[in-house]
Amino acid sequence: MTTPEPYGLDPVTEVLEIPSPRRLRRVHLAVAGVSALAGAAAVVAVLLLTGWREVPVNQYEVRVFFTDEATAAQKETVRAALDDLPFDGDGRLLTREEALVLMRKVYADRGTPLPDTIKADSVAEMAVVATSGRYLDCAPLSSLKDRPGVRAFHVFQARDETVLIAVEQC
Amino acid sequence: MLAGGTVALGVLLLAGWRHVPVHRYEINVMLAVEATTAQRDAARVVLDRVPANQGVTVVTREQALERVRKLMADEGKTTMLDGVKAEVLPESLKVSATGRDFDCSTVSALHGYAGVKSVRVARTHGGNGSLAELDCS
Repeated sequence: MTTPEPYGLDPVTEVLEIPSPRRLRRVHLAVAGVSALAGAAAVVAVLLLTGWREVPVNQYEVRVFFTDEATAAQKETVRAALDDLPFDGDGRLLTREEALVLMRKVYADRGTPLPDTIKADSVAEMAVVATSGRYLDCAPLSSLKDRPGVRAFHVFQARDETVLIAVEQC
Repeated sequence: MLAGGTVALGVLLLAGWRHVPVHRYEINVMLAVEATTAQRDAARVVLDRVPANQGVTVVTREQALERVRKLMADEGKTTMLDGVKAEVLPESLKVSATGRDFDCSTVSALHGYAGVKSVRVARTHGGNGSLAELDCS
């Protein structure tokens, strides 16, 4: 005579339906994996909706153009100011001849030759400094235009060192 | 879920993802003085295809002259334009668009179009308001 089982369950069947610890681990791992994927998807969706995108690293070159009357001391002061900027490169001065070579390169990159009428005498001396980054903060540059001997400055933004993307008016 | 989100954020940051504001782009196509109506319309078709554009505007020769007059008036040089007729000035096309990026290929073909003298794309930064001229040559 056997004792009746509580709730009328068959003990053999009940034992068979309990998942093994190994199977339970798999289920937990699957749930964790799906949750992680859902979390990752949610983060990507939120970032996309709030305007996040991949921003490539660009090369920037700040070119400061001097007036014809700029003195050597004024040029050196500007070069030193460029040196003090939180940029990768060092500030350097370009003679008219070097500036002409740079201008020729700019024109060549655009596929148009520099007009023959432009000679070294008609190009301004300049100070340049280069850096790279995803963005360029214009704020540290704002004081450049007020320095004596400075006519103007532009920030050239390029990609892959050759392709000019934009000229920023900081 | 939290771990997945954190990992995804870390990977995206390392891959160069940053917040990109919506910029405003102004495309200005200067036509040649002798450009025909058909050439102008052909250029207009290209500008119509710029994504998220707010409509192409044709600046007529008369409007161009009026604009130059205003600029000269601001400098007190109105007499320099006495006798100048609108016919000597070119028409131009303008279009504004907004976006986080600008695909230059949508307008670069215009450089080879007959009757098109120049194409300029200016960007007003959506974050700090700074101006830049894009090189879409």
